[in-house]
Amino acid sequence: MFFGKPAEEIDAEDLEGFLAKLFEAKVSPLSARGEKIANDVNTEMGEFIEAVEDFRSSNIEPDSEDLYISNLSSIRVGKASYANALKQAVHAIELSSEGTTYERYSLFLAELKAMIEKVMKVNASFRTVFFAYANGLKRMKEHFSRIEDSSSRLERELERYSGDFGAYMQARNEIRDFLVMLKEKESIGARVWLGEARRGALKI
Amino acid sequence: MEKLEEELSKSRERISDLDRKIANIKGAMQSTLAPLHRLSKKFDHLSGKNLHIIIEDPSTMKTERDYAEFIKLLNELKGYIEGSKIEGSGHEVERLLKYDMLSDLKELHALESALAEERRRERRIADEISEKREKARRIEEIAMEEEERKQRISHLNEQIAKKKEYIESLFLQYYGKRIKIRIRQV
Repeated sequence: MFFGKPAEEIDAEDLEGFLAKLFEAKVSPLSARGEKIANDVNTEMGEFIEAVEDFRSSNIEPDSEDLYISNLSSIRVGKASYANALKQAVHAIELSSEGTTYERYSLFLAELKAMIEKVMKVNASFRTVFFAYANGLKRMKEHFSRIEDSSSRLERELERYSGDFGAYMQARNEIRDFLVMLKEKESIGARVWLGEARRGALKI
Repeated sequence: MEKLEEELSKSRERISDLDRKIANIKGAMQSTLAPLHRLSKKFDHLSGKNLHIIIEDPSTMKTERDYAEFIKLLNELKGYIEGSKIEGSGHEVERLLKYDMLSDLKELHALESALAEERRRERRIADEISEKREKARRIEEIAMEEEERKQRISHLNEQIAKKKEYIESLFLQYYGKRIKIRIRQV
């Protein structure tokens, strides 16, 4: 080798691990930023649940001035149901221990988006309660909005490395194909040996 | 293999020759005995004996004793005709008593025994040929499988070499890392 460092020798069986190591090194900023975002999300989630609980137990009255509300007592009953539905929709998200950093945060983001979607659906289902208690929901909305911001931040972070992840996946798939070929060759080699034994048994 | 096939063909010729000789002797004996068919049935009816069975198939006589019994029955039949117990001519019975059927029977039994032996021999050779053919088929099959495997390995070696080079280039392209993949030899 006249130019540059000599090639590093890697056993075929160790290729995938070696690739993962290089990929992790390349996306290492994602790990730190992702962890911060995940922590923010779970903190905000706790705050959100707390705000929902405070809302549920508060004696706040529905605001009926700007709305056409025929039955205020049903709105009051709906308040508790709405709070319970929100509490059921929201929960802390654990980061998976499987896969690369990129895959783990992608999974985290997918779960987070699904949860945001659920909260939106609950809001839509309790539309009247949501508007009637607009003032009482301010704190809860602030936390939820921060959760949404975190989701967007994480999405942007992942987007930044999506090209690297595509390249990693391509190399990983090529390595897996390569290992399958080696395995097939090994198994055919074993069958050749078996064929020789059979030929011997037939005294050819 | 050719020698065995030649032997099989000769054995089959011998079987066919023996079959023909046996058929000739049986035919000659049956045509001699045929005129007595009706008389023997009448005789059996009156005497309660079984002469007509021998007349219909003389090869049922296996020993000289059987033949002596047959002659005895013929003489009894002759007595029945002469005593007018059965209506008919004693001429055919007389002719048969003078005819030496014993030597025909002996020859028939000798031919039958030779035929049985030849059939056993033919089966043995046929089995040996079939075994050798099966072995040859298996050998050919193994050779074909081996050829297919060699071709597959050669194709795989080509693909593996290309893939190895490609993966090495991906590491350089994506991570600026120059690597050389080491493949464990089997």
